[in-house]
Amino acid sequence: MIKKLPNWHYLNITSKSRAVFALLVLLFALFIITAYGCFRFVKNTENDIRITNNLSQQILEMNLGMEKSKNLLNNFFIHYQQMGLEQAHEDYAQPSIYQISKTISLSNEIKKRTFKDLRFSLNVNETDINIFLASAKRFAETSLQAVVLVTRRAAQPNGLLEQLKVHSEQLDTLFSSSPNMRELNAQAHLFYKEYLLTLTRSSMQEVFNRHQAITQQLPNQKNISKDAQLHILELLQKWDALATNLLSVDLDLTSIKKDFQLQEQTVAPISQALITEVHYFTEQAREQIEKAYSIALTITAILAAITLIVMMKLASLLHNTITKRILHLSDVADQFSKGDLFVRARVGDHDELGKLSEIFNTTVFRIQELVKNLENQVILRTQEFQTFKSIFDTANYGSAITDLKGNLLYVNDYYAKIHGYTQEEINNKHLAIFHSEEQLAHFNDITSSFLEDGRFEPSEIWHTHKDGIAFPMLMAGTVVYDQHGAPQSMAVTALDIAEQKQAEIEKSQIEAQYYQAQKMESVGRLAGGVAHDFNNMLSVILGFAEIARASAGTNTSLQNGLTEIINAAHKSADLVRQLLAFSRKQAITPQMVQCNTKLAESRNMLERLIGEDVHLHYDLDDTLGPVLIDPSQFDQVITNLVVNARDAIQGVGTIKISTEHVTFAEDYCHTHTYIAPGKYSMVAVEDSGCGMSQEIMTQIFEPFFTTKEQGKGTGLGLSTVFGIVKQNGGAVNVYSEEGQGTIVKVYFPLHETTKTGLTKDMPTTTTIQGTETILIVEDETSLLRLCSTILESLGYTVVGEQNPQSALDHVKQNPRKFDLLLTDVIMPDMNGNQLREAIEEIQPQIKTLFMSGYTSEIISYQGVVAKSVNFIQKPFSKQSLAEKIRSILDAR
Amino acid sequence: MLPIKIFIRTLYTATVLLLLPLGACKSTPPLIKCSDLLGCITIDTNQPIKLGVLQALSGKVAPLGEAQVRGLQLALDNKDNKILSHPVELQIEDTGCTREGGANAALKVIADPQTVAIFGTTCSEAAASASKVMSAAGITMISGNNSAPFLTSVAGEVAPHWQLGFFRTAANEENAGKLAATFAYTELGLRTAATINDNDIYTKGLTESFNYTFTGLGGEVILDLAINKGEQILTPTLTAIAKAQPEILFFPLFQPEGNQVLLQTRALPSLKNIPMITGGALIEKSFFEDVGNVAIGVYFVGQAYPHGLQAQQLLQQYIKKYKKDPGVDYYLSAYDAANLLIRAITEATIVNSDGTLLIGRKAIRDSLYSTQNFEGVTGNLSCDKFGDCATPSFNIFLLKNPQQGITGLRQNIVYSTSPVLQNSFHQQL
Repeated sequence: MIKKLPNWHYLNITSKSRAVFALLVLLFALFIITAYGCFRFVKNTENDIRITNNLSQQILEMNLGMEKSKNLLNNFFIHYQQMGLEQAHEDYAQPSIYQISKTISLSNEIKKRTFKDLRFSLNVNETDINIFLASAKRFAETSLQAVVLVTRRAAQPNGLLEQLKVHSEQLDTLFSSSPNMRELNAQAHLFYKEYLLTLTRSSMQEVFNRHQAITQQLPNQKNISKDAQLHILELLQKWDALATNLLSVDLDLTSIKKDFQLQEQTVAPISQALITEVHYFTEQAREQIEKAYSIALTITAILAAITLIVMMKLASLLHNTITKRILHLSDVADQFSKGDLFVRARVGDHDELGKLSEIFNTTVFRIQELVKNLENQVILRTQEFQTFKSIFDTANYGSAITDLKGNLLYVNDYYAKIHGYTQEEINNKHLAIFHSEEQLAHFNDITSSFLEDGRFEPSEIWHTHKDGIAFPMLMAGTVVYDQHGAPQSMAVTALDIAEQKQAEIEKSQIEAQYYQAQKMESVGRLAGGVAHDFNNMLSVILGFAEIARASAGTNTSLQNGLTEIINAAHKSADLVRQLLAFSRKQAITPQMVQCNTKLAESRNMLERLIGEDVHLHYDLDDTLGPVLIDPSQFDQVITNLVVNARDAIQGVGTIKISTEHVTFAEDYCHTHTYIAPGKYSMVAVEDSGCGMSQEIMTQIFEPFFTTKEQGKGTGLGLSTVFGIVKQNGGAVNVYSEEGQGTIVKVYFPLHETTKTGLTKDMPTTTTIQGTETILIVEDETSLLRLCSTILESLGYTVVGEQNPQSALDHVKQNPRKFDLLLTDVIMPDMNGNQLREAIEEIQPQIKTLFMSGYTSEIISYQGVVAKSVNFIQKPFSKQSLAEKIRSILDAR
Repeated sequence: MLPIKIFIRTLYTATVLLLLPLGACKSTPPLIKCSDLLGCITIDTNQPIKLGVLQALSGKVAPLGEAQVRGLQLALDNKDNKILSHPVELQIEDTGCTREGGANAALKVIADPQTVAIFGTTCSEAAASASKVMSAAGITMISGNNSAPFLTSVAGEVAPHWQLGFFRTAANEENAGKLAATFAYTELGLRTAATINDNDIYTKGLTESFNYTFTGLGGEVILDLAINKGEQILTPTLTAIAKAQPEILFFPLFQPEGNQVLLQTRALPSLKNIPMITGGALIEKSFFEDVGNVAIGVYFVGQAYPHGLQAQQLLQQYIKKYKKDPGVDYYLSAYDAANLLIRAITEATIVNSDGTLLIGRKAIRDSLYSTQNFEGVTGNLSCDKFGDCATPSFNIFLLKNPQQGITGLRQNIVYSTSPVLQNSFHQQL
């Protein structure tokens, strides 16, 4: 039993080498055996060819011998009569027999050959050889018979022909005496000659017939003796017997000749075929030898190719199982040495290399695990480092690491940028580049103490920007020590606090502005409240004073006194108006105003106002847009500012009024909260006066604050300006330095609509009297009485009520009685507008006139009373009231 | 050590694989070797059995040769053209009805070592030379047509051209010459005779037998002439006969010489009415067609025609196969000869274990020589030591109407070796 062969992959290298060597030896042996086989094949083929050549030669000789023999025998037949039988026998018959015997011998040799042993096709038919041999034998036999027959026929002196000749001569002699017999004998002789020529039996039969005639007529021949007759009869009998014998011989010879012909017919094609085959032998032999060499060469080539392939396969096998794997292992080791920890060696076979590969793989795996752990740690650390570096680099504060001498080792982007540098520009530079000469000494002191203390507490340090500008930084630092505790480097963090500081300043400014605004608002409310009551009282004073003056008649002193009261009341009313303007409670009627035009119109008035010593200069922006403002307010603002400017100039000076189109962006407004973003028409009034201190500037908008001499100013100029500007959505900015003059810039929001004017056109009133019924509602009793008095004096029917509810009840009771409602705005329980609405529900066609000391939000928005609302500012004169009422009632 | 084991195992495996096919071969019984004294012919399983056929297939005698071949074909047809399941291949050679033709044809046949036996010849002259060649080669030859006494035996003694291995189913015509002479002398009362042969052993045997018997009966053969085959000028011979004035002319010739002798004899006024007896070689349809009414009155000595059922069936088989009546009767003896030969070959054959046939040459001869009472279409056949297998039975026929052909002739028996027929003849006379 053949056990299962061990798996190649489990053989060790030594075993594999031995197996391959064994296969090579086997292959070599196979090669030798095959080569020997080829050699034997060629040798055998050559032997066959030699045999074939020999056979060919024999066949040719056999054919030639047969041919020679026949030719010789033919020559014998042809020449024996002329040259004599003996000579012909010697010259032709004997060589013919010799040749035919030789041919028979050759035929026998050929016949004994075993053609089947030949390795290639030899188309020599054994039957043909047999026929040839049999024909040769028969030829020999028949040729011998022929020679015998010819000898019998022509031999001398006992041959048939010779005997017949002798007998004929004797008969001729015996018949010489008898013409008749001689004639018959001559005829017989002629027929005999004819026979010899034609060998036709009928000719000989003619001879026999003549002899028969002679025999029959002989007894009648008188001139032939009896003895002679007997002798003649004897001769005739002998002659006929010899002739019969000759006929038989000739018949046999004819048969033999025919036999020769048949033999020729039989043998000729065989001879031809054999000769053809001989030629074919030669050709075939040549082809065979070529084929043999070709086969041998092909086999050798194939074997060589197979050997080569097998050797290549074996080499490939060795290469794949040993060399390639060693190279692979080498490559793998090389890759491993270059750091590829994922590389693995193919284990492949379970031999030494396989074990080595396994050990290598195990080792690499272990190293890979170790490295993997290490890498994880590195990654972790790197991530940490990256995190810190990222924090370091992207921090919103500067970080820098320097050596102990102050040379920058590393700075983050922030640190570089706040100094105006890139990181590359300042790396390896000394910290001194961030300090001016003045700062350097301080820096050195700080550095020294830093190194000594090992840390640097957060402190504000001033550095110098690349462009030379100093800026504050909040810095802290620590000394970095190595593992031995020796200082290695300094690490500092820095925060640009310039903006912070600026913001703090701005914040304090905003706070100041806020506080100022709050203060101004409080003051305004205070002023407003006072003004309301003042107006009511002034309305009463003024009204009754006018009534009294009208009633005074010719009493001049009384009228003068009343006139003073009226003037004082008007002045008081002006003051109250200014207070209302400051507190933005002034009722206004905004219109679209072209500042430049307005300024141009008021230039003469202003020049008169400032006097001759002060030069008024205009610098107006032609592109300035319109603003929406009550024109009186605009004039009031300009006048107040110019007056203040004039008052600031001691002696000769210049006041410059300029205009400019200004746009405030949102960014600007964040830090300048006093103004909203948008487009403005700026009017600046600049003087060359004494200017003012910051302290004064914080108070300039306060009512009744003035630096002017007692009696020169009311202290309400800038307050009024401030109130008007704020009421119109604008802003005031004051720039002043003591001794340098002051610039007050007033910003009015640009009005971009094309509509002009908001003022409702009131019909021109020519008459102030009327007969309509007017319902007056006023909680102030004196004022109610005044209004009733005035209106009644003008012819109206007046119904006065002190509270709205009673007024409403009255209307309910008397619907469609009243033509106009004249009502205070601010009243207890129900304001004026609510009252109007209630009454209008009962009497929709009723008209309403509000009266108030200031513009309440009840009927207005930021002081602006809507066009549909009829309003009259307290205090009012009789005239203004009458006109107002008349215009309302007349309006359609 | 492992590689060496592998190497050895590899070689072992290769050797086993190589020897496997050999091991798969079954053991066969040993082949029988030839023990025949004359050797054996081995016929492989896919090879035919070859028979040499030597017949006269050209010239005027061709119908005789053709009848022989047809007789053989009919016999083979009845055997499905097979002997021992092997197809039969015939090598047919023309003898030309001459001695040299027979010899050369025989040479061609025996040259093939696979030739088992020879079927032939037509003419006895050819048989004489062919049988000599055949016998020397150890072959057996059997003929259905050769009837010359010289081929087997004359007067109970071995004939000059007898050859071992020659057999025939045609009757020895030594008796035909005797019957013709007896008929001429005793029945016709003629006392002088002339004979013509063509130097063929058949014709010569018949004329010699005639001469011997006629002379023995007291008659005189005043002329015993011979002509050569192929010679057309017969005037000198007939002139001699005319001058000799025999009472009867016996001319047992073949065609065309027999035709010429008849025609030229009848053309001579002096021989116009001479009684003429010829042999069986001219009992042939083409002869009647050739000579026509000139042949009226001519006597023919020939074999008695068999009247058995087998002969009738064979005749029908012949007509069916060849679509015409047979021109001669010798196809019957040819059929018998063929069957004898087939039987002998069958008996002489050993079928080997590998399917090959081993045919002993001497065994064939022995089989034929031992033939006794073989029921043939021509009668019971028993071969004697000289090779004669047929029982001689001859008739003298008188041709009255050539248009009736052979059938008509066969009905005009005027003399017979059979006592019954002879009595009948006498009654007719």
